Amino acid sequence: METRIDDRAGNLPECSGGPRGERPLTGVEQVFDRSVDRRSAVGAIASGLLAGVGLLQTACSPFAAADSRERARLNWKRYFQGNFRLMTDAEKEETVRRLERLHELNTGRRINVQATDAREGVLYGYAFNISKCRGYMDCVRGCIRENNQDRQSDMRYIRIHEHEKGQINFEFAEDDFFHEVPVPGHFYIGTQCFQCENPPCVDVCPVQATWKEPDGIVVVDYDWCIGCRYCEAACPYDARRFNWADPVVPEDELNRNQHYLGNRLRSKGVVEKCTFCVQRVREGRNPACVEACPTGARVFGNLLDPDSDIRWVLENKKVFRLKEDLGTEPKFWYYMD
Amino acid sequence: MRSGFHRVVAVRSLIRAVLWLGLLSPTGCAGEAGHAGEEDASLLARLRSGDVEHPNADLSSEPFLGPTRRVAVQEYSSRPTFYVFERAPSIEQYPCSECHTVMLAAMRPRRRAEQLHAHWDLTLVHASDRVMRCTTCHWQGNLDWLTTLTGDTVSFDHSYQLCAQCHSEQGADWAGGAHGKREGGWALPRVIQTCVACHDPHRPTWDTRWPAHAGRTQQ
Amino acid sequence: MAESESRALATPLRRFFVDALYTVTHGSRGYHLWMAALTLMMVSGAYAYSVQLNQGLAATGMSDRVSWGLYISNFTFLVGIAAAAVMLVLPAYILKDVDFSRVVLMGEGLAVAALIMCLAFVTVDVGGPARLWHLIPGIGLFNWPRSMLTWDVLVLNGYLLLSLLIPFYILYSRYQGKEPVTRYYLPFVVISVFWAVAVHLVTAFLYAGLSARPFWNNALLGPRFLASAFSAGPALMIIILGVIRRFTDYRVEDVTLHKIALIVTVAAQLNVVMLGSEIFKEFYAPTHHSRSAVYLYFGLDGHNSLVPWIWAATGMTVSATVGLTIHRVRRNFAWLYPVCALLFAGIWIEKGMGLIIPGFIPGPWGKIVEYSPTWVELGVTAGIWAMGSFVFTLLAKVAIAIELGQVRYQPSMIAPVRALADS
Repeated sequence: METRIDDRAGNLPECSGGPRGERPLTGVEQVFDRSVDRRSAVGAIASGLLAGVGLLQTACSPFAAADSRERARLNWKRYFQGNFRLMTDAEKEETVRRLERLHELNTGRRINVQATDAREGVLYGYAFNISKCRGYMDCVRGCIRENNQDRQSDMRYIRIHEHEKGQINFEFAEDDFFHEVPVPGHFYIGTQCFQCENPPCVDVCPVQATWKEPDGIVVVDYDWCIGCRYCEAACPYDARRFNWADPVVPEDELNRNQHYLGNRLRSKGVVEKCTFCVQRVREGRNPACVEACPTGARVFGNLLDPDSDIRWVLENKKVFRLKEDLGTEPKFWYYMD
Repeated sequence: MRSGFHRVVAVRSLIRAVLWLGLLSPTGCAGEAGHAGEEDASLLARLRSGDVEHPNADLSSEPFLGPTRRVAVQEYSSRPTFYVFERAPSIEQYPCSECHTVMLAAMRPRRRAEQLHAHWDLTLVHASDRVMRCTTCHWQGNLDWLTTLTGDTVSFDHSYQLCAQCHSEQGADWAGGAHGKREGGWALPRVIQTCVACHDPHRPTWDTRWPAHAGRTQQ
Repeated sequence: MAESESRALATPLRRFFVDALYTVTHGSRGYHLWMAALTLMMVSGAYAYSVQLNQGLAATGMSDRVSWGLYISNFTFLVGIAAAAVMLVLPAYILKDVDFSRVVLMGEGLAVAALIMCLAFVTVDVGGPARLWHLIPGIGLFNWPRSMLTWDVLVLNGYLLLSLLIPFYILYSRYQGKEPVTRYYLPFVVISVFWAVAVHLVTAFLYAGLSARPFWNNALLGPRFLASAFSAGPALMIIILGVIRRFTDYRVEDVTLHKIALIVTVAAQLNVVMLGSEIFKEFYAPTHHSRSAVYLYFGLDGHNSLVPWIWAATGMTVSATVGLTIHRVRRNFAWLYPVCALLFAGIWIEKGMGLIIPGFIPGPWGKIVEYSPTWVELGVTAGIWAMGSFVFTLLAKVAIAIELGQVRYQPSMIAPVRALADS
């Protein structure tokens, strides 16, 4: 008489070990029973290999909390999620809910992660008034806080370059200063990601983890990025930053209004950059740097709106862009009074 | 959901493969394809050809503007109507006529020894005393109002008109969007700060200050 | 043992691997010491890598200004070494030069080892190695043909496959006592010749296509890569063949080494000519684009950590080239090996750190941040070089054993028969 420990479907009773315990109904059998896409199939097969051990352990261990099981399950699904740009709306929803839930499990606090699409008929443009900038760096502080940037390394998307009058040569400008500003005989130019229309960084990414959204913002899917830093090498404007270590954001300074492609929390080993505060501009607000600047040196708006501030600047002021000859078509202009 | 995604991925990959194979040139072909035919057009021409009917995309700055009332600015015909916040609520000692019940000349101290009763913190450091004095902007007939150089009265809400008399370039820039600070968001309604929000009209120059952020090497 | 099990054991393929395993686990004391030393280096490299996995790439000396360092330097150099195997393949198979046919398997083995090292260097360099599956077409999202990195993935893995399969077929045939059928493998050999050139050109295009980095963004980078690869690779091959001559019974004729040395010489001369062309372009009428070359050769603003290295490398390369040009030096083995080593080291410095680091200095806004590798990077790099040497030794030992007839397939017996030669 054959002794079975599991039932005919292969389900194990609680806390049963032994030889039949190595064959749970997951992974390969699930793959054959229903149609899944390739990526989930890989995940399912991998999970079948590990579930035999994991199932035993979690089923038997008296210390496995429901929370850590849920966290493990969510992290597993997060690992196997696909490229954000190819997701359906439902999958995007699921992805951001998962991130919110993981944060809640990890810290006990709630965040709000949006997956707002680009608005139709909008192409964001930015202008910077060199005559107005006085090197205050309110924009830098606002950006760091808004975008949940790492406080331990020198992570800042915006660089303010202090030039001596007589030339615009960045090699002789200083971007790491701390003294009273403005210094007589000097002027200030701020740089950040210029959201190029012809971005060299998008071309070189081997996994299409970065792309240009329809509203003109170049974004990064932090969970898809493999961290090869080819985009960082390809950017002529020093716009991209890499998380060399785990970023640290104090919990009380955390900006809880997040966007999947913008200021949500990143992990080590991925690239990030200025996104014109995608979490703000898609709701109609100005980027944090524009709002923080006390001199009004920063102008932002919809390039496709003939009545917008940015269009007026382009049509009436003498504007220029940096490294124009590279053909990147940045959407960030400079002008003077 | 999963099979739909699979199909979407397959179809998109196929389209992408066909597109890339068709445009198999590792130089700026994507950019060129996107601007095919417009490559020789100037930037402004290209932007204008993309003008859309609803450029605010159902978004509004209203939620971010706060309760302060605003007034419309219609003097600049080249620009659609935009707004500034009311000025009077932010002036502590408004209305001025509560103290200034008689003509200004009558309130001047007769003897040098007499102290100023108010406004002792104000010194006029704006242009020179050959160009400006208090009455250049403040209407002596009623100090609740300002005056232009030719004697027209202007309310405090529209004080920008005074600045634009001499600073007409900055005034035009301000109305256009190249000067000054926008309130709210980038969508309509367009509310911008008036000149006096940043420039103290009695002492317009800014002092130096320390930056808001120190890089790691500077900390 | 049951009859069926002995038959299972006796299939040629399975026995091939069993015999190969036996071959590589038995050898002289020197062999075992060599392998033990390599294993020790690999283990310490693994430890260093674990530190890097734990802390993130902050454990390296790289920064946002210099975002590629020692790992990618070695990767670039080793792709060239791998491609250089074609310099032996081409004469052996296509030109039917019998002198090369004895060493071409070693060349393929070097290619395999170098390619494995390349893949390893890329893996340790990325910030998210667990997410590398995103590259797999169909499961991930492969940005081909837009991203040159995807071209590189394709050509490197394809070349690895070719370099594994062609020698495998040849050795497997000889292992069974049969002669490999030329028309089976010759088409792949022809493909591999073109593929090798493609491999290294594509790697050069990775850098040359970045308009953001003027130090790399020139037309000569690809041809220069080929020239330096075809001199450093065969130079290493000469040294390796010298070692094989010294420590095994495998016969390598003098004339073979002389012919390889000729290839090295011509390639090295071309390399020097191209270097001269680059120097002229950078320094005759220096522009803002020449600042990286100024940094490399003379230093900028007091930052000059690479200056002694590049001058040493240039001196080594040029003097080695001159030495090789002189017939009497090239044909004298007492000189040939050291000169080849000199050339190899010089090109390793110049094409490794001397190429990658200056591309990032000055940064896009003129900022100068220097780079020097940390112990983690040095440990991992040494570990990967040890792994490559380990792989090559394994492949060479099996190949030599089969070529010498010491290992043959014996279907009638359960335990394979091997001649217990110390090799």
